[in-house]
Formats: sequence, C-alpha cells, structure tokens
Amino acid sequence: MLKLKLAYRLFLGIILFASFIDNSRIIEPALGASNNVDSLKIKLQSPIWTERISAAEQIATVQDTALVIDIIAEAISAELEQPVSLEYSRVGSYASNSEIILQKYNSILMELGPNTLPVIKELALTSPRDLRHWLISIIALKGDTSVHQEVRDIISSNENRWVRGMAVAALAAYQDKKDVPWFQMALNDTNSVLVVLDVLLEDESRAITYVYPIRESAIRALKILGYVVIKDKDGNFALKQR
Amino acid sequence: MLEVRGIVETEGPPPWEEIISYTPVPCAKVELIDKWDCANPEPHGTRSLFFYYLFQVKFDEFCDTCVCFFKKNEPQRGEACICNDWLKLDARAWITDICDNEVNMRLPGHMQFLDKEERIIFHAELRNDKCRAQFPNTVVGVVNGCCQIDQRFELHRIPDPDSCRAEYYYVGENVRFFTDCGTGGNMTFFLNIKRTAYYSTYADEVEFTIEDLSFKDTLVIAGCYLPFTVCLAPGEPLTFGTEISTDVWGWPVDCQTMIGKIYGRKDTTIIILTADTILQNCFTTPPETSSFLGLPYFHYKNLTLNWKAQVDIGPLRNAKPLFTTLHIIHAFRADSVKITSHHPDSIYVGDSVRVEAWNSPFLVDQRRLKYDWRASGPPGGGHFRFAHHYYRHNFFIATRPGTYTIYYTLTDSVSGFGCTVLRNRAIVVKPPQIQIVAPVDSAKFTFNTANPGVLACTAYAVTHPDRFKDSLQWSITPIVGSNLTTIPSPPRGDTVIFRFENLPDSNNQFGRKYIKASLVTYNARDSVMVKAFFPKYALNNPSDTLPNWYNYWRQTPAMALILQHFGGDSCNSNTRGFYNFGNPHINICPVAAETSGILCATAYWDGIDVFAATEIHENQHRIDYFNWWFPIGGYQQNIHLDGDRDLILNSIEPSLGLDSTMQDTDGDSLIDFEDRGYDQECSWIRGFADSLDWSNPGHQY
Repeated sequence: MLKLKLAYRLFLGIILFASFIDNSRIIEPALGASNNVDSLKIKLQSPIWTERISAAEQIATVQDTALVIDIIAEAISAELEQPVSLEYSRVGSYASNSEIILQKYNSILMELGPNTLPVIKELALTSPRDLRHWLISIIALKGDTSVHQEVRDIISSNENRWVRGMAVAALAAYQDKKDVPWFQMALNDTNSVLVVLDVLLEDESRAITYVYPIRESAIRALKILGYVVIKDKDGNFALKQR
Repeated sequence: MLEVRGIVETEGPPPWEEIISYTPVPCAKVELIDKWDCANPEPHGTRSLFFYYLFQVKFDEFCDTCVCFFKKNEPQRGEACICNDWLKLDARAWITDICDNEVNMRLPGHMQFLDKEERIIFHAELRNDKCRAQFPNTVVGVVNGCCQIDQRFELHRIPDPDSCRAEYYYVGENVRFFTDCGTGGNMTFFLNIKRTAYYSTYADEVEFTIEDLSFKDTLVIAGCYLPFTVCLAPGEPLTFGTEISTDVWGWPVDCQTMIGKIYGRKDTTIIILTADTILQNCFTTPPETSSFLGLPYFHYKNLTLNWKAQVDIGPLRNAKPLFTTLHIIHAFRADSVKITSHHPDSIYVGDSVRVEAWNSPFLVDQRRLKYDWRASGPPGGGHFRFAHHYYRHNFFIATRPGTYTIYYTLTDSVSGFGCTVLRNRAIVVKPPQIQIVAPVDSAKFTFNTANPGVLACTAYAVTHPDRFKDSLQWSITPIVGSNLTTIPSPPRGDTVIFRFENLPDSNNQFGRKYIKASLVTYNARDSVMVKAFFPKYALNNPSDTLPNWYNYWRQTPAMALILQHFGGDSCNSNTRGFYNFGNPHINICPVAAETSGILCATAYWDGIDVFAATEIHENQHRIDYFNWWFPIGGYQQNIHLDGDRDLILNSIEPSLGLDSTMQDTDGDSLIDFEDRGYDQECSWIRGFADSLDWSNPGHQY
C-alpha cells in the first residue's frame, strides 16, 4: 500500500505541479522533521486519550498533506477497531472520549484543501471496510456527490454505530429530499447512550437520560429538509411536512 | 577736591602711616611764598599744568600750648612743638593729559599738610576756548590762620591785555602769579590755615593726589582679595591677586589711550609693579608675582604696602587703599591634603582614612610645626585620631555617611603664626552596602503540608565592608494569623531564618512579603520581595475540613455570591460539581481543582478558572430549576412536560431556541440542559482571579 501511495503521490505531484503551481501545501517535510512525525505517530497510539488529541493537533501542522491524510486515516482505523476510551469525560455529554478523538480527526481532514480530495478518495479505495466507510463520509462532507449512494448504503449496512452516525451526518450534508427514507431508517436506530447529569433530583437520585445519537442526527437532517418528526404514544415516528 | 597728603619722615619713632585727625590750635602762622607755574603745551595735543606752592609756617609764642594728635584717632598730648622756626613746605600737583580743545577742569579741593593744617581750597574752572575766557578780577579766599578763624583774603587779577594770560596777586604781602597756559576760567582761592601743631622734626615734601577733577583719575585697589596673612614658602615670590578699579571718566576717549601702571611699594622699594594694563573704566588685575621672595624657614615679617598709581607717565599718585598691611610668614605654607589610604571613591563609614599634609617645608619629622586637623561635614560625623601633633599624617574616621571637607592648619609653635591649608580635600563617605543574597527577588515559599503548616525562609546577606554583617537587622512582612519566629531572635546577623507557623485565615495574607536587611545607624538597607503560597491540596488551613484550595479560592472573585458546599456523595472522578434540585446551594467537588482542558471552546483552563467555571455552571442549573420546575412543584418525569427528557420544560424550549423533541438541538454531543451550564461558564474571564491565586501549584506558581 505504501508503494501505491508513493506512486500516487508522485503521479499527483506531476499533475499538481502543472496545474497548481502555487500549491504550497505539497512540500516534503523539512530535514529532520521525519523523526518528529514518527514520534507523533507513536503518540497517536497513546493509551491516554488527551495525548492522542494533542498529537493529532501537531500532525495537522505537517505541511505534507498526503502524509497527514495517511497518518490520520490510520489513526481513525485504529480508533474504530479499538477505542482508547469509552468513558465520558464531560458531564451531560453523550460523546465518549474516543468519539471526541474521532471528531478531532474529522476536523483535521475537513480543514485540508479541496485538492486533497483525490488523495482521500484514492485512499478510501484501498482501505479496510470501516475506514473506507468513514472516509466516504468525509468525502461526502467535502461535497463530493460521487459517493452519495455509498453513504446511503453505509447507513443500512454498517454495524458500527459510530460509522453509521457519521454516514447520517454526511448524508444530511447533501440536503437531498430523496434521502428521507434513509433518515427514517435512522430514526428507528435503537443505538442509545446513557447520559449522566450533574444534577440530583429532589429525591437525591442522580438525573440520567438516554440519548439516541443516530436518531438525533436523523431528526436534525429531516428538520433541515422541512420535516417535523412526531413520535406517537407507541413510540413510532412519523413525518410531517412543515 | 584737591587733596594734599604727604609722607612725613621723622627721626624718632616708626613712621606714621596716616594722619587721621587734628585739632586746630591758635599757634601757627602760615605764609605763602611761592607761585604757580605752568608748562608749555607738549606735543600730541597734551599739555601739563604744574602747580607749585611754597609755604612758610611759623609757630607763634603760644606754641607751647599746642596739642598734637597723631594717627589712629588717639590723641597724644604733651609733645613739644618747634616754635618760632619757619618750616618750608612746598606743594606740587601735576595735571596731565589735558586735551588741547576739551579742557574743562574744576578744582575744588584742599591741601592738607601733615605737620600743619594749612588748607588751600581751589575752585577753578579753566577752559581752553582759545583765550576768550573771562577771568574774574578778584578771587576771594579765606585763611584760617593761627589764632583766628576764616581770615579772608583776595587774589586780585592783574589786568593783562593778553587774555591768554591771567595773573593774580594776594592783597597782602604775598603776591602770587598764575599763568593760565592759554586756557581761561575762574578761580576761587581759599587758604585755610588752622592752628595745629604736630610732632614733627621736619616735613620737606608734600605730594598731592588730585581728585574730583572734572575728569577723574581715581584708582582704587580693592585689596579685598589680598589675604592679610600670606604664607610664603621659602624661595617663592609673593603672589597674590587683587582687583583694581579705574574710573577715569571724562577723559576724551578719542584724544588718546591712557596707559597706566600700579605700584606696590614698601617704602621706596617697588614690590608690585603691573604692566601698562590699566584701562579706562575697566578692572585691572595686577600680576601675581613680585620681587619679594620668601626667606628661609621660620621667619616672618609684617609688610606694609603703599599703593601708587601712575597714569600716562605722570607722577606717582596714591591709590586706594593707600596702605595694605601684610603678615608675611615666609617660613612655611600649608598646601594641600592627600589621602594615602583607601581609594577615595570607596570610603565607607568606619574606615580609617590616612590623610597626609603636603606643605612647605616638607619636613617629615620636626618639633616646631604643629598640624591641627579639622573636618567639616555631617554634625558629629567624624574625628581624627590625633587632635594635633607634629607629624604630617593623621587618620580620619567617619562615623556617619556624607561629604567631609578635610583641612589642617600649620602653626609655628614658636611664633604662633599659622597657615591654613590652601587646597582642602573633600571625601565622600558612603554608608555600608547591603546585598541580600538569598532569597532572590520573587522567590516562592510554600507552607508545608503538616498540620500546623510551617513556612520557613532562610535569608542571607553580605555587607560591604564585611565588618557590618553582624549588625544587620532583619524584618519580614507579617502573615496575620500565623506565628512568626526567627533564628536568631531578635533577627540579627548575616543569616536569619524566618519561620511562620499556622496558615492564615485570609487568602490576602499570602503573596508578596518583603524581607528587609538594614543597618539603622547608617540608614542602609536592602530588601527583596518573596511570595508565600499554600499547598493546594493539603488540609491544614484553619477550617480544618476543607482543602486549602477551596478554603482560599472561595475568598476570591472566583466564587460568586452564592451558597455552596464542598463535596458530597455525588462527587466522582468526572463531576466537578453538582446541584441538587430544590437546594439553595450548589456543591463543588474535589475534582474541580484537578480538572483541566479546553473550556468554552477557546483555551486551556485549569485551577482557579475551572473552579470559577464549575460554580457558574452549577449555579445555572440552580437558576433553571427555580425558574422552571420550582413553580410547578418540582421536577416531574412526565412526557407532557419534558418529552425529550432533557430536564427542560417542553413549553420553555422554543423560547430558548431549542427543539422539544431533541435532547441535543445543536448537535454538539451535549444535551441541551447541560449546554446552558457550559455556555454560562464562558461568562468567566479566564485569568481574572490569577493575581489572587496563591496556591501551589497554581496560576502564580
């Protein structure tokens, strides 16, 4: 895979050199920077979740964007396969520490320029399934419609709730009413998270609530498309055009 | 005024220097026996007018009753007069430099004989108007003769067809002639003869000083810069400076440049002679040299200088002051003071400074010249080891800082004459220097975690000079509520340990403390600022139950004016604080002091900022409870009231921009109820209470 990526980068470099002369982001790391990158890659595997975020922030400053994509994609894959922390560090949050890490990875990839899209797409082709699905969502979030159907398929097929949730968010970005069936499917996603609040009720029991992250995303997407989600007394969801 | 003064030489006692007063007695008769004369015009437009008088004085038979008075205003009676002998007196005056065309001369004046009071007062006005002046026919004079007062006389003019010439004669026996040299004018001639007898053997010459002419040539030697005692080193010439004022107005500037000299004479010996440096209406300083040399050691002499002036090759005239008496000690001279120990720039209080007199003669050891050392400076600030002795060196010890002037007087123990040093010496005595070496400025000290807590601080200072170190006195800003002890006690010396026991009640007692080391006597001090901290997590503050951070941070603006309790069963590892619905207070958990991270989506927060944010967060829950749930009887888990179970009333959510069907309306992974608490945290300004955070670790440690 490394050989492929290098070949791709060489190919891309020739193409970009002709068409984006001023693309200053595609430069090799400075001499001595490789050691630093290696240490950051190790840090991304730290058992302390905050260190992974810190390392990711530093990776984002590396000027070789292909290298950044490579490293972040690898880190996403690792986090999906083996989350470093499923604890919730913030009261009232339904995002675990690993989800916060994944959000940081997403933000890094999203902030890369549009010229990096081919690199991500190329990478997605050769990645394992969950990572491929994650990267397809990233591609969709960057506005590429070529993966529209693939995003729909992820919602209906992937078992990982984080990957499904990412796909719902990506599909919402298209703002396409044809996607309503897939959002309805997400409304019925029963994946839930127990959220503990920093409040005691009058009986001094801890206030808790269950949050359905995928359902929340679907409601949010449908709301954008002009629908109101109504839940009947049996717990079934119905859509109503506003 | 025409004033005549003279020098009378006698065969008797030392010369009289000046006649001050006299008392006329009816004992003398005066005759005027000679005439005036005038020289012809000289080249270059100047001419000289020469007055010449010759008098005869004869004392009458009452001479024996004469009373003679001498100088110094002390009448001395009983001296014999010489009676019935004619004394010849002549009086002369020169007037020079009269321009050919601009002569305007008035001669009020008098002649004063030293041995007889015979006063001749002239009022003359001469004009050079080419012989067209009118001369009066009669000049009236008054003679105060012996035994009579104000005897008038007249000088009559002899008619002369040549108007350039006027001749007067006395109505009496004495006919006087006046030749006006081509000038014209009036003259009133007074001959004032007073009956005065003087002790004198003879007086053969009287010199005039002409003053108050229509042009002035008064020369004044101020003499004020001339010390009356001159310490003249052997072999050195008499040197001094003085100021001469020449006031010669009325001389025709265009006529000629005046050239003048000043003579300083002892008897007939010229000691001081200036060059031709007298300028019109200018000050002149004579040269600081003379022909008078100091004699070998231990000789002294009184010298009286008589000042004369010569203007334009005219006669020597007396100048003012007429006489200057000098005590010239031409044996030794005190020159200067030298410091022969210590660098002059680094003399400190208590230093013994070796001083040495430089004088002439440069005698190392002798038993005649005494050195009397003095110092002026701060009152009571210093003394010499030897009050006065015969050696050239001494030791000065200053006991107070300041500037001292060191000088000495060299006294000849035989003659009693003394010379004070010409060039004294100023020395600056510094106070001792103190430098606190430890602790360094802004050093941080923390109470330990024991109970009671102890803060110990070792201070060390050096002094310059080193001898002052044991006298150092120390102090430190107290911590109210904490017991301060020092080692040693009282805190003195170069090393001191300050020990505070017990943490204070107030957070304000932590922070900046000033350690001072001083030498009070010398007003010398040094200080450093140190900072006192409390151990953040220890439990040794006066509350006994609360951790230090909570006890002291709650005294800062980080705690709003709301009720709060510390801890509680619901505190856990990720709960900074909580609110129990219905309670008037909120709870702050221990983890609030330990939490750090990105708050408010802006920056890294920790410590006292997280403490403040937690309090704000929980207080928002308290406010929401009392706004939403308290009015309807408390929280109820009811789908009609809170459909999405986010603890916000359905009816309230739209007004807050929230969706009652969604727990996380904005999709930030936080349920809406908690969003309100987190959002409110941002009202805290990060770092706002940093300056009051004295925890270790903390925002100032």
